[in-house]
Amino acid sequence: MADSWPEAASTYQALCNGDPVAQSDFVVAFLDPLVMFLNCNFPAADSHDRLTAAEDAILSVIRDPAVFDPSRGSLPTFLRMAASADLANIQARERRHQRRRDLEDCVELQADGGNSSAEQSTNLLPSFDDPSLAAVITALDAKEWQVFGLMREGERRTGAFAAVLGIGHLPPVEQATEVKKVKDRILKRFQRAGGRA
Amino acid sequence: MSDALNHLAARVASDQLFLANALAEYARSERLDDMGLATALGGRVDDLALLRLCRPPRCDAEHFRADIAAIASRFGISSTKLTEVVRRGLSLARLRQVQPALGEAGLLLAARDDNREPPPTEGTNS
Repeated sequence: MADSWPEAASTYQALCNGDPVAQSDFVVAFLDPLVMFLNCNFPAADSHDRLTAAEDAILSVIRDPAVFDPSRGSLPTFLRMAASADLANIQARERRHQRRRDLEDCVELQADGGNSSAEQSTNLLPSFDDPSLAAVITALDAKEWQVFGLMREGERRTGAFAAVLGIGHLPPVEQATEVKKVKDRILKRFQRAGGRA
Repeated sequence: MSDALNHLAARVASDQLFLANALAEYARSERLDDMGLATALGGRVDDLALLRLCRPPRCDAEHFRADIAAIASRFGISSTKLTEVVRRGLSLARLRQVQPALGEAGLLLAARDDNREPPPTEGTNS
């Protein structure tokens, strides 16, 4: 991806200026790198979902360049976060559809009566479409970002979170405590920002 | 050209924010495949995906000419041919947008005066 900000900035500026070829240049500059980023960071996700998520992130900026605020970070970073969130939303939607299909196949009440905690429900995690949450998302550090990504994917295994936090060597109880602390911290920030988490 | 670029160029074929829409309409009206469209434009098939991802030219005459010139220059195609293709494509796209039902179902409806006798009102039975 055009990681050097001046290069990305000029591409973005041309888009804002209405250059008729800028949309094409913008896609060339960012689409393939964005797909590669998703391939590396979400290898378990469906390849078509990854492509759709990358396209959605690119299209959101083309349709409304103002969704990106240069004062809050670089364009490549914004696109990576937007694409990751779009992928998480696509996966969450797919899981909902799958649950609905399952329910249609087997009409049976859930043990919890349909209630689940906020932490359990990835649907309650914030969307990048909500501009009020952009600052919170931008402020996540690298490890928090990875934890956030796993949460969006619906990951539940403590070991997966411990691995990205680099605490796999700790006893399981301490791992669980530390993982919970990080997840709670992230969720609390979104709650303070007015998110749904 | 990457698969991702080709995929996105195809995805936006019905999106009026992209030149893809006008090019698709033109190609449909002339029953052209990609090779035929590239020939009509005097360009290369390999450039079609990038061409499709461009913004359509603005409508007013001055900007239309400037935008066409910018696009044609980038892809090494004739402004005259691009103008012809884009003008027709944009017209067809607008027509489709205004009257989608006509394009889909081929159904025409016309209003006419109702000359039938009004139904008798209550209490006027004879």
